[in-house]
Amino acid sequence: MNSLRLIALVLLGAAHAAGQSPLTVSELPEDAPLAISASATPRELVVRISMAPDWHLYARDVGGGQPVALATSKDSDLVGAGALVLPESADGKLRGSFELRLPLKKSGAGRVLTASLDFMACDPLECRPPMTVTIAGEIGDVPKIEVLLVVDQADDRSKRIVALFAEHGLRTTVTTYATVTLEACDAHDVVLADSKLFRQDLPGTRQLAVKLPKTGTPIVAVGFLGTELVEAHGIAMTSGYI
Amino acid sequence: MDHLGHGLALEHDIFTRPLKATFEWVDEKRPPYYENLTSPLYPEGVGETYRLAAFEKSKPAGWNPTIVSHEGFFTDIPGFENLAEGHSEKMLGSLSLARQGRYFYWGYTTDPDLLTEGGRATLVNVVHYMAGKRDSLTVPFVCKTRKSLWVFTILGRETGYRRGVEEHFPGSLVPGWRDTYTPSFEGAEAWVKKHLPYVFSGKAEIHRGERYKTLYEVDADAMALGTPNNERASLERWIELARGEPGENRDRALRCLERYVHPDIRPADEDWKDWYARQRDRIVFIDSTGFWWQENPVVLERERAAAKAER
Repeated sequence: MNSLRLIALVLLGAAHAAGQSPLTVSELPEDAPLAISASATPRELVVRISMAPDWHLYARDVGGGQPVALATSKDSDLVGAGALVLPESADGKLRGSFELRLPLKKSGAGRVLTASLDFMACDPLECRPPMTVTIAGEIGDVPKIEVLLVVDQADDRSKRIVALFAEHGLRTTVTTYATVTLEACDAHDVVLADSKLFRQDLPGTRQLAVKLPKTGTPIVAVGFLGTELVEAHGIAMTSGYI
Repeated sequence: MDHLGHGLALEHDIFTRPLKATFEWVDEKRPPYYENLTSPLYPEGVGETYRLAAFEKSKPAGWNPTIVSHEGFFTDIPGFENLAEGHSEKMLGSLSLARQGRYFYWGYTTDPDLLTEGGRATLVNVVHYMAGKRDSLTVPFVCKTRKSLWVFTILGRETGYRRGVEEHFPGSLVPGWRDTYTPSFEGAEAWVKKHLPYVFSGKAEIHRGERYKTLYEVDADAMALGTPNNERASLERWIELARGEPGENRDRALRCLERYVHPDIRPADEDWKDWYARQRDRIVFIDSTGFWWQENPVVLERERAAAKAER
């Protein structure tokens, strides 16, 4: 299993590089035919698994072994916030190296995450008894993504967008096409240039949208106004629309 | 387009991270106007049935445009990501979710009240995904690709729509080349077959029109040499001719190099052989940026990332 342990260390290093908090994986039997490492941000738990040759886990119940399951503990400060994301597998088996991803949200006041991973490892001839490993650690802060929402006018719709983003850890500032500045765009992580349906924005918004500053910040361009401003920025992908 | 999408790139981050986007799928019979067509997300065409996912809860009461690829109006740019097709009653190839460099196009509403659960999750994921794209590079749009001429031909053949071949096709050629064109389905097909590999645009005022912003010309030099202008073998042939004996073919080759190798990367000393040895794996030909051999933005991104990692 030495090669698997080496892979696990490499994966752990990758987690550090990505700015995620590395987590401890315990209770994995010495002779288990796989290596496991884990890391997390306040928004996502990532478990990296590397199977020994010929061994596999099950992504779903295909009549073989117990499917893999990842769940946060009741006393965890961060808990699951959605379905476990598994790699695609036509036959339901997970082989080689792959990742499991679990969306997280805050539950307690602290930063401690504890979770358990249940699975059965099988090769073509046999399955090992079901195994459970514990994943635990403290999650560091990750700066929130700052979104600049550009709209024709601040209204209930823009409030709903802000609320949706806040629910998922995004911090949003609302501005209008009439007042948006290059400095404001540059100061955010993402600019969301919003659009209502064709000709349902305030009159004159199209003329303002095509003047949206050419910022170095990534832009999510929405609908009709999005096609207009992207074309005005010299980007090919709206060279025609229907 | 309406509130639906299909051909989703479901394994992409925008459907999986940090939220798993789940949709209710509806299997639909392929509409007649999708038959025999292909698109960036359906290179082999759509099967007899296809699956639709709802991004919005109901059909919007108004017009909701999608960007239109029409098989390569702009999708020749390296790094361009096609992630979903909008559901269009006109034809296949209307992209509703796509990314080019630091720009993402979102072709649905952003109002959470109108979005489905899958639509909301995808929107949140798109913001997360784009937050990591500050350093993403792309290239500026100059003109439509030559594929638009081919689209006029296809539209006419499949739908009986005649204005494409009778009006739009000849209207999209520079005056001198309109005389070589016969405005009919057969004429369009014959013209495309003979000239398309040598078509170019985006170089001069003559290539910009009022009604049709992109006007196309045929490269008589490339045609005489039998060197389609976007093929790597043609570039290598021009370089070889440029180093050869003076004569008509050398003059043609030098004009082709001038016409298609972007000024930003041309060799200052005219040593094309040495230049090509250094640039071979870094350059790409792109119609929509003005029919140039130029530095590939994906290669540039990779080089910059490597340089950053070394620092």
